[in-house]
Amino acid sequence: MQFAAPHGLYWLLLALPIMGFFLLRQRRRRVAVPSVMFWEQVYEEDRPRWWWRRLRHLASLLLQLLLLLLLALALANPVFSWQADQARTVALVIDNSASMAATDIATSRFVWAKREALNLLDTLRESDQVSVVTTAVPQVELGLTGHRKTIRQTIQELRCTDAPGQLEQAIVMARRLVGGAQNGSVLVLTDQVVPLEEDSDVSVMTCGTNAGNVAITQLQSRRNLDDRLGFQVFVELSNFSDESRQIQLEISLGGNLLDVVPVELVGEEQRRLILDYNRPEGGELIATFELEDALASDNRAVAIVTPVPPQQVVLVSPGSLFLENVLAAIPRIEVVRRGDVPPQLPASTILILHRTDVSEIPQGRVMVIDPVVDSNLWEMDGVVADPIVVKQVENSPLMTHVNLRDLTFPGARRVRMNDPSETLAESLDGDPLYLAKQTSDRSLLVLPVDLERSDLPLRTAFPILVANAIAWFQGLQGEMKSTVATGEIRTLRLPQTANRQWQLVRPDGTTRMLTVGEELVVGPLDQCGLWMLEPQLGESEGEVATRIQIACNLADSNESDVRTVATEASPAGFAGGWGTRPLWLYLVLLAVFGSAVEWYLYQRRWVG
Amino acid sequence: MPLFDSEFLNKLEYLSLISKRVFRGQLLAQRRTTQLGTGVEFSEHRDYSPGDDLRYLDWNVLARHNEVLLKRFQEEQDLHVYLFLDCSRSMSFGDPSKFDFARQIIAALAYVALADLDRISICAFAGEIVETYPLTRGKDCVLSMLRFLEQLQPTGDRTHLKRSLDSFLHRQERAGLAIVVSDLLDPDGFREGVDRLRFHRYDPYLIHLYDTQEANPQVLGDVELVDRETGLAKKITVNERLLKQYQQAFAQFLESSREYAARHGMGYVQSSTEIPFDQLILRMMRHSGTLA
Repeated sequence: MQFAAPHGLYWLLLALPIMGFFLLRQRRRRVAVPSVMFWEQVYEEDRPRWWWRRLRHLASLLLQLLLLLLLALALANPVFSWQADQARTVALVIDNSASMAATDIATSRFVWAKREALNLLDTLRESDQVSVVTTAVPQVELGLTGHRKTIRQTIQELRCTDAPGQLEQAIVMARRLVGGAQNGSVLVLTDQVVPLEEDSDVSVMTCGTNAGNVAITQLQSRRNLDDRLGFQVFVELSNFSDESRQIQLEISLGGNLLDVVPVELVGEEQRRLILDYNRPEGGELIATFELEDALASDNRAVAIVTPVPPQQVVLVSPGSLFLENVLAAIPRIEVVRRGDVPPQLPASTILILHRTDVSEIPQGRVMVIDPVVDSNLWEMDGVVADPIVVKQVENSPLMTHVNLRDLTFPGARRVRMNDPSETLAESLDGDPLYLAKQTSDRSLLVLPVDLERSDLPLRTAFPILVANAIAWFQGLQGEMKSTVATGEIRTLRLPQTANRQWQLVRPDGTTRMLTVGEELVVGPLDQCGLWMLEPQLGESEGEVATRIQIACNLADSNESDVRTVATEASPAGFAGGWGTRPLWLYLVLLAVFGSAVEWYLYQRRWVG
Repeated sequence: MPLFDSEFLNKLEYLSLISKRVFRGQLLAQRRTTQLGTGVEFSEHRDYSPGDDLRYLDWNVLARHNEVLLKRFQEEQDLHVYLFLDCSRSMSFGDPSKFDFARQIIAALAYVALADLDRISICAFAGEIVETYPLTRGKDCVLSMLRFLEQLQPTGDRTHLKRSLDSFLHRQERAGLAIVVSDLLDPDGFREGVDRLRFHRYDPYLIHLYDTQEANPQVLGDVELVDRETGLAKKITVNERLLKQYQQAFAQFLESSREYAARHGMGYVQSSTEIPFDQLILRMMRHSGTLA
């Protein structure tokens, strides 16, 4: 046996004053009384046994010395060699995936897991070391340590996520943690069934019941391709139970209720709904239903509907009935017709130059139709010899639902761009008939076509082409902002702004500052709801704040299907037995017991 | 500070006046003797017997009814008051000591009796009669009586009331009121001694004194109890239970003393030394008045 703090034995010197006080106490106090007659009478009736009477003071002294010895030994913190030999290393794998939030058992499955982990912690020996691993996004929450307070605090601060569990990876991680350690073992607290090998060092405690659950397992929304004012909602509902359930699916947009859809789901049914709505405004789309089932986090899902903002268009043209009518037909467009290019334009305004002799093309969003003179961006080189479109780009949003093949543009001018640009449509000789160029400060479309002489204005492709161009300028090519499943990682291309400081706002309102470059990797997203990235702009920068929203849902059938079978009891072998506490604690307990005995003897002497 | 100062004497005078005017001397009963003799107060008639003194023949009855009857008168005699003061060492216990308190009571009773023209005698006793103040009558003996009391000390042997009273009775004094002022801490029991007084037609009156520290001692732990009377020491461990038993035993002793006195119809007053002696005397007067 060794002592961790041998200087604690110095306290044994207190035995000297104890002995001194004992010897002093042997002299009895003399008390004069009128007569001892009555004292003798009562003393004879209650005479203590002689041996006890003689020994009790000595017993009290020995007891006090024993108490001192116990306390001094406790302060010296003795450690036996076998304690060091039996030290164990335990990795606690605590499942904090979405299904652990199920409330089919008292409070929740995750609360059960934390409680069991804390109970287990109480049974471990002093020399044991514990690590804590979580499964939602497999990570080591706490490395191997024997400091109980830290372990306890870590377990208590664990939070259940909405992310799907990655139990196997977490177990692999835990096994690596304890792999090289003596007496290493892994304990998994989960609601999932874990297949184990024989003689595995992994033990599993499972919780849960066969409780049913109804979930929104998918939610997406997008703007209609043919009607930009409308949008569609795609909902997938799943009933993970044997019984049929009736729900009222409520759809709301930006806080306003859009629709209530009654749905009856038979047992084990999975239903997909496509719902159409017509709203120019966008915002947060919420699909939810009220139902007392095991898991609440999948009873609500969010998506983002792209708004259709009003767009100002400045048309500089000598006059084109086709062009004006097409622009007037596009919803949420405000057209201002002018004879010349205004000196200052807001950055969001789209400038359409139709057959103008502007040689200095301004920065910003500009569409040039039938240019007549050279400019700072191109040079004119006569007319196109064979102005028939033989080739067009298919995957560009500018050409969506636009078919220009075999269309002839008589009088189309040959344009040679000074800088590289994207040719969207070209003639038989490879001359560009529709050009796009996008840089950090400029979005430019060039359509060197004489609208008066070509058939283009008479084709259905023309309004679609103009509408695509307006949408392209608006940056609305991605009209569908797809929702993200929890646990996923999303890479975002941030707007080219000077600032590098962004604030990540989680659905629960907590924030985190991020310093980013052009790309930002967000995730794993472990919480259902709307995540937001807000740029932190300086006062002098004067930049337009563009908020990025990410809708995140638990779109995981495995997590929503919370039916499971719990194991009966905690695995054997984890309880540390009587050696779960350090020896000094037992010594202190003995000292407390001895104090109680001494107190009893004292009471016997003084109270009787 | 002298035991009997001027204030004490004033209190005695006050008690004397109270005794006469309020209680009409009932403290000491101011009683007549039952002996018939040559007094002036008519008591009864009886038949004449030859040899009777013809001076007491009732001539009026003889003339009217022709019956020879002799008039009898109640003989007036002085009341003899015997005051017994316990001088054992146990009486020195307390603050004020029981002995001082007892002397004040004895002085007060003697003063009242002398003022009432009764005869008093004071016997200081412990293991036996230690000292005696002889039978005295008249108020002019008050000072000598007080001096006698003042010179007494509680230095006697252990209390032995029976032996003390036996030696008193052997003197064959005339019977009277016998007032015993004591703590009654007699290892052999005080009852036998008091019974002797009763048997010899004395009228015993017990004034039982105790100190509050005696009734409720504040002592705990390992102590060595020293007996005041014998000087013997007793090592004892006093705990709360033992203390409680002691208190019960002492209370039982007080109660049994009271019951004994009540059973035999004798006067009995029990008092701690905390109350002033004059209040105790007044209490005795009231008690006697109620009985009368």
